[in-house]
Amino acid sequence: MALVTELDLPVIDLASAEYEADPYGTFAAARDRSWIARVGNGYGVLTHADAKAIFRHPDFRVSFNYVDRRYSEYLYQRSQSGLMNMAGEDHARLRSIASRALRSRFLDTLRAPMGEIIDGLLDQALEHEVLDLVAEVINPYPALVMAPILGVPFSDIPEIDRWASDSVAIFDITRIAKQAPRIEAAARGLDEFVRELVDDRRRNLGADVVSELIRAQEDAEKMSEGQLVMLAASLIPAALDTTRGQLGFTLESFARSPEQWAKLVANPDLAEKAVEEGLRYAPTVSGIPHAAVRYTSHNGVEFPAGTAVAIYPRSANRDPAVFADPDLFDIERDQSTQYTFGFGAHACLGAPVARIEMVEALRAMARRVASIELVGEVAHQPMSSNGNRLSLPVRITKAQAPVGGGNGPCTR
Amino acid sequence: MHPMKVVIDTDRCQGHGQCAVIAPGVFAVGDDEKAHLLLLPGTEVPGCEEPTVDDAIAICPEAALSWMPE
Repeated sequence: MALVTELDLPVIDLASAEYEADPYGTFAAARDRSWIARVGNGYGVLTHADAKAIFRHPDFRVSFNYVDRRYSEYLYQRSQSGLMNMAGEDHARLRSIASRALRSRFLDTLRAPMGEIIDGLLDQALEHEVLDLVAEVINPYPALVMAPILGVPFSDIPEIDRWASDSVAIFDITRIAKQAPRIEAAARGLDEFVRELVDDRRRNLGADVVSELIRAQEDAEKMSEGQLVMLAASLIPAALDTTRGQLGFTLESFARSPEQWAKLVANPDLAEKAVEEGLRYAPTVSGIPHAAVRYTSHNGVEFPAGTAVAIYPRSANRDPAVFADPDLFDIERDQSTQYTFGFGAHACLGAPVARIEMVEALRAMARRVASIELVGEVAHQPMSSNGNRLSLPVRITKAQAPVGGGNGPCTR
Repeated sequence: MHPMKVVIDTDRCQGHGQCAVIAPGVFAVGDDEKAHLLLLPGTEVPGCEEPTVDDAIAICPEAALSWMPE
């Protein structure tokens, strides 16, 4: 056993040009030496097996400590009462209610509206041979699908999108310091909107996620009104930024591997596997922060209480001990668990929604886009954060005629 | 009341362990990192545990738990 502070560990600088240019190569070089690296003021878990062990470790907890109450008491209280900061049985009980709201019976009702939305976007996008997939598809699609998910008109979407984009800035330590009033206003706007939505749905239950949460709450009688609002308000920003990010990474992976797109076009039923492979190969998630809650140890290393240890899916998902040819984007590979949605107690609650949302997008695109090819520089946010794609310039060729296959003809 | 048995799809189970948190009388995660039933093989879930098993089925991130069809 050795104290983590005394070990000679590889050092990864997320702000370096080397990491920005090749995060996967940087992780791979470190992972060849050690399961853990020094990253910033804390440590990063690099291997798949150790990632799983830390996710499951009773002495490590998910730790998002970004909101200092000096910046905003409202945002501080809001983050403290959030699902991420809960643990144990209370947390599990609340999560199970939220999971019930997202069961497949409800999710299946979203597939048709998702299909209509993506088809509408493609009608416009495919008028051009060269286009920016971020502007045409990747940004608008996750926002527009919030309309059927929440059961609100499309005219509500721009305002919801603004609140959501501003409120996720609490996870950005530089923005919270500079823009606390703006972020607080967005969070208050979102919370007020959701409170009114909950009131409205109580009188008039429908086929939307808030109605499903109310039904689940009434089944279980275990959730307070405040918790119901918190759950509904937290799922909105969670659904927007991350789905945009992941769809961007996945479509970029295809644009860089035209032969994989050809496979999907030949067999759109590969869409589900393709979504999993996109999540594995190019995660939108950087680090999933954890902290040791007491003096503890793992894999021969001792950690003082409070040690920050983040799990990096961009490393674990490419561990050659688990994935053959890990740096190959192959939508037909046999899938093992990828950690882009996290794992265990705090695994992404919205994962089933994100999955069908991306599957419906890929299915529709596979029907209508015969080929896809990158034609310029991809602009993106720093890879030290989520790395979300800001532009994805591609040249596409349209499918000659609607392809029937197992999916029925395209009738829209 | 119908007799109720619960099934674990061990191919799907990845050992998140959420079932064991929410229904510790019914599920435990073994050294193989898979969920196991604490009930005697082939026995039904006791009536008092049915709501917690419902919770466990709902919470499983891999959708690995289900009631056995009658």
